[in-house]
Amino acid sequence: MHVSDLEIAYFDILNNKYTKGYVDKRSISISGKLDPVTSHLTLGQMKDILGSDLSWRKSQLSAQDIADLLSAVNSFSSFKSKFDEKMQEKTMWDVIAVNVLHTEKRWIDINGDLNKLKEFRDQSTHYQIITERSKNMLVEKAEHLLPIITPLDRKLTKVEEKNLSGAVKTLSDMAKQIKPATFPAEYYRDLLKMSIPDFTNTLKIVGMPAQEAMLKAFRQSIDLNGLVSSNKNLLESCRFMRTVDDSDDIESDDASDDNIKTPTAND
Amino acid sequence: MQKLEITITAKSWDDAKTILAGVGIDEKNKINYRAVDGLYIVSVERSLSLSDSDYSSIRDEPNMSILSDSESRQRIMEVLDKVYDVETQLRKLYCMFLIWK
Repeated sequence: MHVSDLEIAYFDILNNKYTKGYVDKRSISISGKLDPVTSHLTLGQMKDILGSDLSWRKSQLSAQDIADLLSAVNSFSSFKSKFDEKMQEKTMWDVIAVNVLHTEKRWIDINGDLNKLKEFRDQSTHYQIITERSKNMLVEKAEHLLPIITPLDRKLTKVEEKNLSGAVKTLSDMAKQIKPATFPAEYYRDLLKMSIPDFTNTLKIVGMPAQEAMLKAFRQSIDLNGLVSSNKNLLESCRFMRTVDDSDDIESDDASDDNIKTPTAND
Repeated sequence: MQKLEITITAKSWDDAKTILAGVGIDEKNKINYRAVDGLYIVSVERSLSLSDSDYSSIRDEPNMSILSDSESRQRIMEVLDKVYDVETQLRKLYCMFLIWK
């Protein structure tokens, strides 16, 4: 069932059966009226429309319907599959449930309650006697129905929450990607500052204190100078890094920031 | 105070009173009536509300029916409030459907 089919079916029902002469396509109000066009439907009519079968099973097909279906397929097997799909019973409620309410409640799940509601509404509007027991039963049915037919108050499913957090993360990633293009020096400084503690911890765990101390000093140089563009500190840090890498012997496990051997040009 | 208007078909007011007593409405209640050719339209004021079993008794009595009931009227307002919520929500759904399409 395509959206265009639904639209045609919907307006066919509205125009021909209930509100003929009131509705223009793609309009939800009537000029000079306060109510939307749907207010011209009674509860019983709304129930009939919700339960109307939009499939091809009982509808009269035109040659154009078949021509449209044929143009949408490229093999006989896909034609059969599409045709079977269109032959399956689908009420307007089923379409609204999936696309507007995002619920799996079927028409048969709410049809009984709506029938009962309509029956009591008819009794009430004609001032028939409603007993306490009947009233309680109807209130219960209405309260059961309301959350089902209300789309706004539903909680997000776990999958939707996950998708939403994924979208937020994507936005955050996009922002990070935009940043270096705008402020490259600050971006790389921040990146280095964020990465060094991780490397330092790793080195600590694997027992490489000298390298760990070197990284601490390197980070300090960034902090002190604000930007990586402090050429002197950067150069010295890089040279120190090379010295430590070349050395086979680690002098002390207790190397602290104070004990860092400042490298010289001769090293 | 529950106010009722009840119709009874009976040969006499005494017969009508017997029918009323059969469903728990007797001289203790304030009763007024008008008789029109064997049809009695009876106004009753009760301090106690009719119970579900009283309503069942009236329903089962072929010569008796309730024309109006003040408490039922209250219940009708509650029912219509709930129907209003459901009906309005259905209209919103239709509007959403019109937009969604």
